[in-house]
Amino acid sequence: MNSKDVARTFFARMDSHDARGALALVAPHANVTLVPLKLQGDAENVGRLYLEQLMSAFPDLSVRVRRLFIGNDNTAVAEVTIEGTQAADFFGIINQEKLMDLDQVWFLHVNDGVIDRIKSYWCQNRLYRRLGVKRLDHVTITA
Amino acid sequence: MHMSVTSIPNAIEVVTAFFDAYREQDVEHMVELCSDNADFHYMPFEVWDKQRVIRGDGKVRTIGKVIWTTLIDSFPDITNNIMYITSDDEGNVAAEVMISGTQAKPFGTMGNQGLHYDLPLRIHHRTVMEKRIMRRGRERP
Repeated sequence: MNSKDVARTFFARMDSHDARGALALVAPHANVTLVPLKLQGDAENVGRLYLEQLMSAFPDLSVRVRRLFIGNDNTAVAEVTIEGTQAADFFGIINQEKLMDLDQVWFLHVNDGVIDRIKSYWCQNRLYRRLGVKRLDHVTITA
Repeated sequence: MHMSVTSIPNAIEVVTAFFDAYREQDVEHMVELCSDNADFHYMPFEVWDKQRVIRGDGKVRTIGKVIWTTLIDSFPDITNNIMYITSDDEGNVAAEVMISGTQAKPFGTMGNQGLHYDLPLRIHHRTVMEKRIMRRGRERP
């Protein structure tokens, strides 16, 4: 598989709630950085923790790739939207059974058909808003 | 992640020049580097009112210019550092940029607390035709 196919398959398996299948495309010791969660570690631990929490907290999760390109350093840059209804706590966010839709960006570095580095960004405040968490920033001005 | 620069010197040069202008707080030059109808998506900006939601989506020359000007006004020492940048052969450029600044005035719904922030952002530009930025989007943690 080329880098684009690897990236598309990775997100298709997330969309199918196949965490094991998605992780099968990732080297076990690949560095995974989830910037909004301030989590960094290898795929075996951090990657697995994120995918399993995401899929158990949002059992109706859908993952849609909006835009994808492959940089000339073989990094797949993907803009995705995830959607789902919360059914369990998620990284400290108490379950209030709210629907969330969240735009994310993933950098997947692919080497010989295997993902060997992952970095992801999203707006954590937007996730908090969707899931009914009290804003953590200092809101002093209201419309 | 270590700084690295790959492929399409022109597209990357345009985006690098954009952040140089941002660092120099030269909003006019930032806008000049974008095409006349360049789209703009500022995902962190989302204000909920009673009957409507205002989002930072529109054009560089309308929404984008206002947001950059307001940011610079609220964070007068705002600066940036490109940590990583890559592109393909079709003019897509993705960059990880550290934006830093100290708040001096309210920004959006955030009152001034005089605090300093260092915020890593992921920014996507699409450059085509005359190597000007056609589309700009950003997401932050």
